[in-house]
Amino acid sequence: MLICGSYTYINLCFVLLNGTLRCKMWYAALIRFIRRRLVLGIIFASSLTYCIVSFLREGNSRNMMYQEILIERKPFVWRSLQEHKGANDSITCRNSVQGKLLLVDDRGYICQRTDVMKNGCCDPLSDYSQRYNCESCQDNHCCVVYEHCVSCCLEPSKRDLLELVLSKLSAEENVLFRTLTDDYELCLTKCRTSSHSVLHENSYKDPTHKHCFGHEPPRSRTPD
Amino acid sequence: MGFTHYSFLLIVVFGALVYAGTEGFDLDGSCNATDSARVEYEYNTDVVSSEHIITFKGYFPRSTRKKYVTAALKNAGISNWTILQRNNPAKEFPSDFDVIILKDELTRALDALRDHPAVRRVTAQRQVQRTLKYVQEDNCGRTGCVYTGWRNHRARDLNSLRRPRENGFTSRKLLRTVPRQITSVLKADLLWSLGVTGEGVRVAVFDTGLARNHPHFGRIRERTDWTGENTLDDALGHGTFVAGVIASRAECLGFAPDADLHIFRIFTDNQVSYTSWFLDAFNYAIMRKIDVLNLSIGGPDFMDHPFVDKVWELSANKVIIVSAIGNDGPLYGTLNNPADQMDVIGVGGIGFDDRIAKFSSRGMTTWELPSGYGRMKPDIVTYGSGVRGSSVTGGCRSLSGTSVASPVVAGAIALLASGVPRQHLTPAAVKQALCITARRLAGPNMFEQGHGKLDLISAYQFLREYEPQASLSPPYIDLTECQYMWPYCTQPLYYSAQPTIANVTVINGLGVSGQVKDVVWHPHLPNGVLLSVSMEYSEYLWPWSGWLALSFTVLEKGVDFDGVVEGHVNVTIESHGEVGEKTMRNTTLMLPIRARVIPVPVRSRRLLWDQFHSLRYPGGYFPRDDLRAKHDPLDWHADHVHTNFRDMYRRLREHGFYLEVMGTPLTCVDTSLYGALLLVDPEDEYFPEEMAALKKAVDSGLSLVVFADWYNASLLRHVKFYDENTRQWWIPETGGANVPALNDLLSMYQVNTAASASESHERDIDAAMFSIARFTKLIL
Repeated sequence: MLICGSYTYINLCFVLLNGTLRCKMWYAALIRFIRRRLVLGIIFASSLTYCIVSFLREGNSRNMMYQEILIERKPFVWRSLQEHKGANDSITCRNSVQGKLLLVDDRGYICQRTDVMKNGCCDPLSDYSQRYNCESCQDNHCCVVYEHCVSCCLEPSKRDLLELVLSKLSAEENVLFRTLTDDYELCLTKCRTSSHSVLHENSYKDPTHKHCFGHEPPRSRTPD
Repeated sequence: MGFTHYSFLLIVVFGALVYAGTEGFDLDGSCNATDSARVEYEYNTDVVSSEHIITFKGYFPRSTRKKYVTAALKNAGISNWTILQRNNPAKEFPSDFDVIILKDELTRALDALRDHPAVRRVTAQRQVQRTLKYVQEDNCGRTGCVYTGWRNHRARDLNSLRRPRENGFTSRKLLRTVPRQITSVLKADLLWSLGVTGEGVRVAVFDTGLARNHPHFGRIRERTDWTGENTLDDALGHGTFVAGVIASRAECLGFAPDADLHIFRIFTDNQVSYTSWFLDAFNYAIMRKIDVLNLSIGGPDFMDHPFVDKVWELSANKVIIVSAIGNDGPLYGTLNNPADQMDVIGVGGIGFDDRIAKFSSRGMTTWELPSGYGRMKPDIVTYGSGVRGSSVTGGCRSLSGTSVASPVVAGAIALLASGVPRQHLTPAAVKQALCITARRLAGPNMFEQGHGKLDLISAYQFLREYEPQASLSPPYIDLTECQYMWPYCTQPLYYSAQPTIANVTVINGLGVSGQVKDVVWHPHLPNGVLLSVSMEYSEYLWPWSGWLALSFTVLEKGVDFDGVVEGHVNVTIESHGEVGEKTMRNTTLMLPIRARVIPVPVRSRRLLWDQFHSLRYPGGYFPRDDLRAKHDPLDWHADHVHTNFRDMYRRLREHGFYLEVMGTPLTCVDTSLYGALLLVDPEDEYFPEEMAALKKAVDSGLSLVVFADWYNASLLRHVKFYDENTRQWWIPETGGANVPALNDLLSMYQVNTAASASESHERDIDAAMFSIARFTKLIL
């Protein structure tokens, strides 16, 4: 680069002041200077250093994490192993908050909004409460109802599948899944519609069974 | 590649011979005929001339495709060509197309390629460029900013643009000094002095990113990139500015300096973004339990179900979403999604002179057309013109756009959120606080200003003492109140008219999910009983909101009544409260109603506007009426007399005509009541039953006025384009208007319009009116 640049400059100078002796002399002196071995060596060495440094920096940045999260990370825990024990009133639950009519708590109980107790848990004694409900789910683990998806996903027999899903996601370094702390959060997040759910960016691949917890995306209803 | 393009303004007037009355369309007095201008439409500017796309009949590996191309061109004796290498992850897989660069003998080479049995077609490579509504100051002239490039049609844009000044110079006025800090205009310093600074509130900024060490910011909790560009920094300045208005703590101050910022980089440096990126980023925002989310973005596509559903899901998870209403003003009916959603706080822009900024999108929502009527949006307005905020280089700069107004509101919410009890922070409560306390501006109507101008201090006081409640938006229906209740106030009700519909939004602060239990109309004596009110409402109020549509008709006993009728509607709402409450919360809201009723006008003064055959936001590709608008090839404006045809509406009303909107098929309407049926720019087709009904109606005295737009089969083939957002080719379904459908309709009168098209360039109301007058007179 450097060498080429100076030659261009010299040529330019030569053309501009073509014929004047002064420029010729200056030009000849410069050429002599550049042809010195030491100068050539310095130019070569600096180019090489620059080349190596930029190459290394490029290599580094490829492995660099491009997400910057200052919130401390908690390790992933499989909650289903440490079952909620004891009386119902001593525990508190997280629930899925968003539902129009249904909610699902972190124990896998699905219930109507009116059957949620003060501690956030579904009342397991209520008529409509059900644990690990896969009612609207297909065999590809895609469900019509979001709450069914989460409830079904929390079933202990799905543990192997979830581990597979989780390992796949951690391999992708997916920022969404690096911040998960337990299987309930994994199920809540995995069941939401995401980039895997859309076809042509503005429609669902499968408009009915769009909530999936498995590792395969919904089956496309319309031909590609 | 020079195509000949015509844009057709097609006016056919069908006058009935037994046309009643002598008044006719007496319009020529005030309407000056304007000569129709010629369209100078250059389409080929976007074509990359040397590059062509070869589409194969199947998916082949790279080597096979090359073999086919070589074979085809070898036979034609062409050697000077190269295939563009596409270095993307898909290159290892079979593909069905190649991009070829041809140096010479273009036509011969293209023919040879087309002849090859494995080639489906060869098309010109087009450069599709996408721009945001964000234009350099020096590009803006007096008439506003000109977009460059081609905006992809379903795309979302960043809603910001810079303009040197707002409204031109209409009259002399005192120029107010623009205050230095937006925060002091809204009296945020008053809250700061109380120790309310936004602390502990998680604010997400979905934008173009933010630099790590920007001197204006203190609490950037995380920065995430969703674009795959491997950078978190802002190269455009949009994201920095927006974040600055919310939380800057130096120089140009933001509202909530101590709020926790979560920066989501969702637009690339080239301003590209996809729905799928948004979905993943939104999921992350839910997981992070974001309190306030600012979306200074918008797009026309409210039919993008995955996106719309996801925004609902966010609201249901108690994320307060603030979004810019759009920069497509002053045209009506141009609201952007997601700001036009009921659960989102849609923000319009005003200047420091308290006038609606010219760029701010306005008009009712168009989701509900053709059978219903749009909702009131934006929700509130605030300063969006010439606001100072953080610059990407570290200093301050001044920007305009609804992108600026949106973070003003988002920052204000973040500020008040830190000063009120946590349980008061729901999307509905905050929206109620902002809307109920907003100060109404004198002049603009409700489809321009919503509830009015943001009043931060009053909203703070409201939210501090908040009791869970439901509210209605607008809070009353006074069909006589001009200017605020435009367009209702411009045309009184009368017996036998098509129903006048008011669409009220229910904001339910009682809980995320609820139901409308009962809606009852209580007429006030003596005249309220003349009015009939029928109601339709959403099945569930979810998330935090729902709609309530009221249709007003005058009963037969009011056929000769002239005066004002009053009454009120009681709306009973039942809702699930906090978790753990076994009983449902109940509330009854009162919606006062007032309307003016007149005796039925004569038939010749009554016009029927066909809304039913005009499409709202289309499912397919319907090219624009104005072909010069290349930045946005898709016609996404639902034509309505109260949106983009409002000038026509105004003119017709000025001339004493009564306009009724037909949102049902022609067969459902008693056409014998009307002087004329207006078919303006229809995109849809007509059913045989409708044609028969129309023929009968015209035979018995109905005039038919048809305004159509361009339609040209060869042009239609050429305006197809490849859309990067949906990754597919978009081929137009019809022209600016569906002329073949009109021809079908008119064929019973042996009229064929396609050949008799005249060159024109836009729906010029004066020219059109003149033509009607002329035709009608000829016929009369």
